[in-house]
Amino acid sequence: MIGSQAARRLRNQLLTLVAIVFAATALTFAVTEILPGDAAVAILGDTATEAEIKSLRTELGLDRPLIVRYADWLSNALTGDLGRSYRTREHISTMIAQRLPVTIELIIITQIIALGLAVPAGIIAAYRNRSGVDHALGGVSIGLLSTPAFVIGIGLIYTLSVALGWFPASGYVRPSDGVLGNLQSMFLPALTLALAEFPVYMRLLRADMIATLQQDFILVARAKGLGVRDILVGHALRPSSLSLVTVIGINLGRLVGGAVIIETLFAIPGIGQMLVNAVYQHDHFAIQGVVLVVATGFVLINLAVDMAYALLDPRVRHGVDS
Amino acid sequence: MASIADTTAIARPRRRRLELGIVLALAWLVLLVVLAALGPIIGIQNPDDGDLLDILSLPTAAHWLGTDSLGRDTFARAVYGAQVSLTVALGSVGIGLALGGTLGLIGGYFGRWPDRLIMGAMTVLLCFPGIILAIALVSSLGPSVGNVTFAIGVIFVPAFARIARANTLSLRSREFVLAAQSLGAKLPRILIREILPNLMPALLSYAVVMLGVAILAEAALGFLGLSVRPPQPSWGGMIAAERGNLAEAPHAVFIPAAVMFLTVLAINWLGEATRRLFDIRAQSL
Repeated sequence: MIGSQAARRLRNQLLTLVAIVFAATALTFAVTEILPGDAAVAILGDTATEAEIKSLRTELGLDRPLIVRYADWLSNALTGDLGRSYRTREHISTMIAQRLPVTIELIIITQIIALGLAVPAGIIAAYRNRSGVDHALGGVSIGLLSTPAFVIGIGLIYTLSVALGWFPASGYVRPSDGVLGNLQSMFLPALTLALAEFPVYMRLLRADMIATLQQDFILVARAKGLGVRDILVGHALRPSSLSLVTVIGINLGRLVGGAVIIETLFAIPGIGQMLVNAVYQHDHFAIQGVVLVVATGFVLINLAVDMAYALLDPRVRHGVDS
Repeated sequence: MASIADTTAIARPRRRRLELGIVLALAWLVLLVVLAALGPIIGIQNPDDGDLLDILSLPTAAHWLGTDSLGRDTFARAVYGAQVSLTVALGSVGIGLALGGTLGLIGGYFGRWPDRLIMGAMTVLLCFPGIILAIALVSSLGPSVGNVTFAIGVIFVPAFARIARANTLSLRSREFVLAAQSLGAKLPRILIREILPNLMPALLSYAVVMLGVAILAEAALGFLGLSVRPPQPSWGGMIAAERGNLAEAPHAVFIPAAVMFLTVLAINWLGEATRRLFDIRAQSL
């Protein structure tokens, strides 16, 4: 049931969405603007003369004021035209359309692995709170939190690829060239990112689960004689997953950030790698395009997370204050 | 990162027991700080001097942590890299703490439009995956210790602002604040003498954790070639430079990685300890 309150909340959030995406793209435009050697210098190289740079700047429209260029870009972006790369003259929208699915696949596989590891681990750590298992899992997670993702990645490359030869050390296989090969080429980068996310998810679920397990309805379930598995998975997991769901949403931004490094490490042609290359090459429109996609995606995900609350917690669904 | 915002309540520490882990963590950090600060004085060799006849050597008496692919001493480079990591960590957390704390304090205390303005700006900033904003900032300002510190400091601001705001919201209507207001205390006094000290436990225990995050972020930038310029050593740069020799000389990659790991681990360990000290929720469990 969607009441007027829910509708109002949805409308407010959509307005926030628009405001945030607008502000984020304006901010990127300003940040890329302070890049010292602009695109004209980057394209022509250090040997170009002043006149050559000047004429290319005019050709690319870089001599117009910042506000005009942003307004121009924004009105084009609203019609789906994100401009062309200064470098390759490719349409940014085409580049993103090619690369976004790769990053989305990477992130989905990452989330599956991360949750597949963290949910059971969190449940066990909460159920056996302060036991040896709990401390061991806590130790593993603090260790993983202390390691940068690219070092986890290098460690996995060394063990699973160089020493054991199970997975390719880098490179990407398109799904059209074989689904199995594609999954194999995605596994190490996804596992790397998943191991970096694992401690965050596990610790959150553990903390919420411990709180849930102290509530009366768990006592009731226990008194009814339900089995441990039924209580943990059937009764306690859903009310304990509120923070987890929020953080999964917030973490998507972090994951895209992680993907920037991991895609570079494993030579995966996603939008993270596109962004790094665009930054190296001062390709403003490419940077703008990626930021637009990431910011929009981030806000949409948060909207979805907010709606997921309603499914997880009846109090939110019925607009009752707890 | 997310669970920190819960540390609204402040409790007295129940008991102070010096755990072995905390002692080891402190010892490692003290050793690192001393070496990094006194490196040149106590005769650690020049990190840029390479012996091309002795490349990728395993740890020996002459090279305690081995050498890299240019024959440079890994121990010396790790020590000089620590200077970079520690400077960036302290500086960026300082920026986040000072700027974010101030903004959160103002937003939380005044509410209404200052709050909406500040928190709106923070939401926009949070929309950027932090590392992407840092990459953009460093690549525009140029790679140097100062710019890396600034870039990482900026991405820390929203989180500190949120913590300061959340805590200020719960403090501003407490009796001691009302008492100060009705006694006619001036605004700066209320903010700085009454509210700020009560924000410190939450902000500082978060700051400890963020020191580790800052070291990891600097390493990530270094790995992308966006931290200090070579040949100046940084931990991330050292790992990136030797990545190609992983099969023949894994130690050249994993020894600097281990130094960084131990440092961040020590910081996280202390962070957990501070969090336990201040987090009433964990204590009541």
